[in-house]
Amino acid sequence: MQKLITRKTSLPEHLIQFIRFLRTKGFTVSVHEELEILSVLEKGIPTSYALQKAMYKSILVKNRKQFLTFGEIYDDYWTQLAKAEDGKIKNEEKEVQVPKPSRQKSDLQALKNWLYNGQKSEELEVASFSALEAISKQDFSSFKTNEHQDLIDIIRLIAKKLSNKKSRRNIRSYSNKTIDIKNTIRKAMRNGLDIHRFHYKEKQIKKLNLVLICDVSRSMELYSKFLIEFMYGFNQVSLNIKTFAFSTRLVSLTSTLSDGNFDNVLTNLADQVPYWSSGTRIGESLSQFKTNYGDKLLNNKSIILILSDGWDTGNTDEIESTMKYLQRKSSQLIWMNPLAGNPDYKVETKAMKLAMPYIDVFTSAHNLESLKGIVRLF
Amino acid sequence: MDIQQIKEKFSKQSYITDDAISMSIHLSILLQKPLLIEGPAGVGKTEIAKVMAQVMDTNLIRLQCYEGLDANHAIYEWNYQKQLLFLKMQENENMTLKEKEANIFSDDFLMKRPLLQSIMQEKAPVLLIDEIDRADEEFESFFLELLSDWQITIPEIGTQKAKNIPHVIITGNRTRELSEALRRRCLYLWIDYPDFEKELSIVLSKNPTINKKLANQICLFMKEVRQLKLEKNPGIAETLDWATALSSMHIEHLDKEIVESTLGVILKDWQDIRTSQDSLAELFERVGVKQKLA
Repeated sequence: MQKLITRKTSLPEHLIQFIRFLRTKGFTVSVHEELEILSVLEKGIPTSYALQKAMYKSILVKNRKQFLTFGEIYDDYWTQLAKAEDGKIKNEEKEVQVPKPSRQKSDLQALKNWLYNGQKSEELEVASFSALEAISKQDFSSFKTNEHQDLIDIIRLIAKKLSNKKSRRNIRSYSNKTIDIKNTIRKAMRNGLDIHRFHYKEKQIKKLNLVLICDVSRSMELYSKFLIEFMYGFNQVSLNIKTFAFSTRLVSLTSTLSDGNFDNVLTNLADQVPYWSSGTRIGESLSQFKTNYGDKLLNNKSIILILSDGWDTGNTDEIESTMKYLQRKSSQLIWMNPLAGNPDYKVETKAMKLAMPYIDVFTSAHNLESLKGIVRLF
Repeated sequence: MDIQQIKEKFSKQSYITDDAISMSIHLSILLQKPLLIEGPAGVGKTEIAKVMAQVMDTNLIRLQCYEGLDANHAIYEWNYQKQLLFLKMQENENMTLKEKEANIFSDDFLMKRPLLQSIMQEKAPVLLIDEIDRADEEFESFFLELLSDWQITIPEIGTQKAKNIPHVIITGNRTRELSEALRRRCLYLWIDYPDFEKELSIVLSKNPTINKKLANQICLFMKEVRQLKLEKNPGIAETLDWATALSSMHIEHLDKEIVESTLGVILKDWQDIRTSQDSLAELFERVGVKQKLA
């Protein structure tokens, strides 16, 4: 392997070497940025190391993740270059040291183990193409890590479609999208058909008021990846979705999932939900939702989507009254049960039996095909 | 403007910059490239554009983005009502259709929206595209078109080239991921919550009359509150509001009663207020606020 950092004699050569080094760290830098740096340097080289670093950072960084890691990479590069220039590094082949990842907190590691079933997270980043048709009928529990990205993309598409659904009703519009001929003529009749102004119309956007409540207990572990991506996908495309997760107690995840970076989301989720993969207390968790958020979030246009297999290890006394309340306070109460995709599935758990009379739509959520079916419900 | 001048001029307008901020502004002006600023709400992203316009003694043109923002609201729109009225007034005059058309599709009937306005200015203005992540992806596409050529084509009157390229500041709260194409065309700056020293200097700069002990306690308190994992962390804007409120009440130091009664100034979510109330004793201990014994 060719050594990445060696002594160079000219500024452009140094720049090209640094950019190559940066690319090995995952930065996408084009020639355009290189030219920009050179044109800035032509006008005057920043006087201090900190300012030089700030200059490179401002031009080469394109997102938050890069912004936060750039400083360390820059320092690392110049340290190694200084060593090379001191002649302390021999020209023999030697790999550039990659900074060791910082030790993750145990709860984050637990979440990652739960999420990836112990597989290395790096594998997930290598997403490969997989046709929608091929995966749409595949059970989420058997998803391979390299289909991770496809799954997120499809969930995002579905979520976006849901959140921007147009109603059949036209409303008055103040932008000139479509002339409302009927209304324009009706108003013009008052002036002997003299058109003084046009009236416009547009399709009303049905604003989705969705409350997502997901079960993240041990019994749902097989669907863990799908669960987090499902919640994340929804939160990324619409502002009007409130997301909650529960196992033994309920936690609001709306703000956590709104972060644009999935890695940050995972880190924050680990702090937010300390009970991943533990027991299930559906009744108590839903009751907690009713008390803390029910009146604040729900109205007659709300759709509540509960994603759970219905296994309850806690007290089921409160399920019936809470489900009755949730049905009354929402326009639709949908229960997605991953187990319902099995042809032999029967409602047998106590919690599920108590909840069934109050559910408007009971559907499976074990593959993308079933997920797409939900779109038609809205 | 070099970096030192930017720091000084911004400081005169009570905006404290660090190396990253001043370098980004300097390069944005030098390379005539938009500056994309991301960060949590209330850390001073929008303020950069406002102060930049003041410092450069130029106009600030602001486009507030929202879901459904389209070209008519962002670029231009014909004033149809005025055109109809004009045609009505010209009914009895012997003008050919071509002449009438030339009249009604002229500058007088063109309603210039922020993007068109920004390229028609005699002196390069500061164009603030605020909260771009709230607009749809379609908006990003036609905005990209503008960024690449700095010209806008109006079919009826032709292509309008920029008289001066505006200084573009784009802000976002990361409610959705922006396209790579847009990121590539911009310089990037992330502004996080400030550290204690920076926040203190901001408070003292914006409120020169505030009691220094109080300012110190406020900044320490805010630093600790942000560690609480709240739904909505308070930003610098909230710190300044709180400092102004307490200072105008002639309060010289924090105590339990004052904090409890003014918590609504910094926290805007009832659950956050409840969470912080539960942790008040601990917060006071860390900040060094003496609690009265019951």
